[in-house]
Amino acid sequence: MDFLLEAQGLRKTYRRGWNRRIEAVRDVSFSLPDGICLGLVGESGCGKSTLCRILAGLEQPAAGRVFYRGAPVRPGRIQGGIQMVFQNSLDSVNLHMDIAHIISEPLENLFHMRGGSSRKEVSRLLEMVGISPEDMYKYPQQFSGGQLQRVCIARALAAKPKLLLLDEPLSSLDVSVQAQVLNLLAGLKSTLDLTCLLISHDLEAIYYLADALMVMYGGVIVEQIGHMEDFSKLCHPYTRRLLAAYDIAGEERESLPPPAREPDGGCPYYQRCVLRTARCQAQRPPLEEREKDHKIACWNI
Amino acid sequence: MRQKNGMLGRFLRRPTVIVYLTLLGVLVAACLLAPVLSPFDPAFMDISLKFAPPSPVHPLGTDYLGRDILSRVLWGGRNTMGYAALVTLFSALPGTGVGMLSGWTGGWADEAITKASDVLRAFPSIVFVLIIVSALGIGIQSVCLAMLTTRWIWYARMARNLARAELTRTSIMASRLAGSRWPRLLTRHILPAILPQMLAVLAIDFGSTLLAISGYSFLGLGILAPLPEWGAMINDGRNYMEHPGMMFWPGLCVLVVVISVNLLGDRLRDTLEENRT
Repeated sequence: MDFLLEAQGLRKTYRRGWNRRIEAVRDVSFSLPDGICLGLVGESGCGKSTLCRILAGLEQPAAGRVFYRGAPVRPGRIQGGIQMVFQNSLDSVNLHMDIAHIISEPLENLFHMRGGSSRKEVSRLLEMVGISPEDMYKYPQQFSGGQLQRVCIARALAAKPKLLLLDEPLSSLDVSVQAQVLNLLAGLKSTLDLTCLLISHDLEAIYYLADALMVMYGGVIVEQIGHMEDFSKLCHPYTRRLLAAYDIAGEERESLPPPAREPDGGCPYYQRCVLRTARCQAQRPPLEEREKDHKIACWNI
Repeated sequence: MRQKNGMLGRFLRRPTVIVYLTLLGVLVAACLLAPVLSPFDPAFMDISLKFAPPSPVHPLGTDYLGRDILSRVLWGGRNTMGYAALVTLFSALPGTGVGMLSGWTGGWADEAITKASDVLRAFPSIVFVLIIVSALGIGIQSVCLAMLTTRWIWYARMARNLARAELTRTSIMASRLAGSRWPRLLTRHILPAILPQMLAVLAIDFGSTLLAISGYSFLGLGILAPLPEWGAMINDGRNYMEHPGMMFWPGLCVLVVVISVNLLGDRLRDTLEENRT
């Protein structure tokens, strides 16, 4: 099969003070076929965003490699094929520029478009995301969160990407606006034939938009399905808790201990797991294909 | 409606800002127009007229050598404010540039800037000025050079910290993905964001530089006689306390300029705070 993006053994470590190291991402490998929307779920701080930045070439991984169309992705060699949409739209635009300038930045840098042709392209992009081209000389503060997120999507599309990395694009929006932006993304995905990685902790959004799903916990991918039809077969203890969490009150989730983050430990979910055994603490389970297109990292399933 | 102009407009509409800007503007304009406005050559002496009281010919009287005080205040302002502006500008420009670069690159250069400014903070700057002046000889050039060598690093530190904060925004990542490289990131994204705060610092720093320049001239290290300079004029007047006009007028000018720029800087900072919330 032809892969648009391939990640091999990615690892990212952050230093905390003198000698403590935190592994944000460890041994993450996966491949993303052309035209697929892959969902990535996990709680905050599980390494989703770090992974996303490594994939985009914004951060250097401590180990491992990323290939985009067979060519390695690394910082300093960004060429526009991969674009990102961020969680906080107001934080992801320059507040001192009007949106025409914001959207034309990739046009100018990547395609050397200026003046009239750039303006024309900006209005085309704005129409595509459902914003009136008359608003192109407004400043970001004059838009609502949902509108500004549409502007950010337009900027990402301006670079003519094949791969769109969506880093929690809905989290800072109202529920009704979430649905609108989700519909917009679904429409764009099919009309522009985009490949997406959708990061979210909202399983419903992922279920709606994604074709495949990865579940991440403590910097590790714990479960992966290749088709959404297998959604009901998800069986890793963490995934099940995540699914159940929609019915459980918030306090219980808060009171649980944080995932183990020390290097070379056992399973990151060890402390919370209902199925844990001594082996889980000593050795990290590998991500293994149990059925066709269904991978699980657990010793006890 | 442009949001940016909104902030500047709000700053300029504050009543205190209008008052201080007018005061400062009048004083600066008068000094710039010294060749036209001043009734006498600032170095012209008429011993027979020494310590003349204010009169239509000498509106502020004359000093111990019979020189017209008004002319000397106006010409002195050109020196005092001119050198202060020069030092402020030439420490702010390279300082801001180096600071932004050091914030962007991080690593050892960044570490060096931070450590150097820590050392300079612990080291009294007057000692540094005295060393340079004793090495290069007395004169305003030595004083300015000494001040330049230490002051730019403050701007570097400030710009570095502001740039660091700005760099954590996801807008920088989005811009990198849009193909922007560091020169564009620094000039188009970081600089506009940190500029208002840098200007507030610059205004306050101009006041303290002006005080320092007149201070060193007062001590006899800066501008040399017979060139007029506010600090040096105050020093001249020190020997003739019974004729307070000699000290009063240059002193008043220093006071007005320093208070005005300090308060303008403060108000600019207030406006920025309001803008952020």
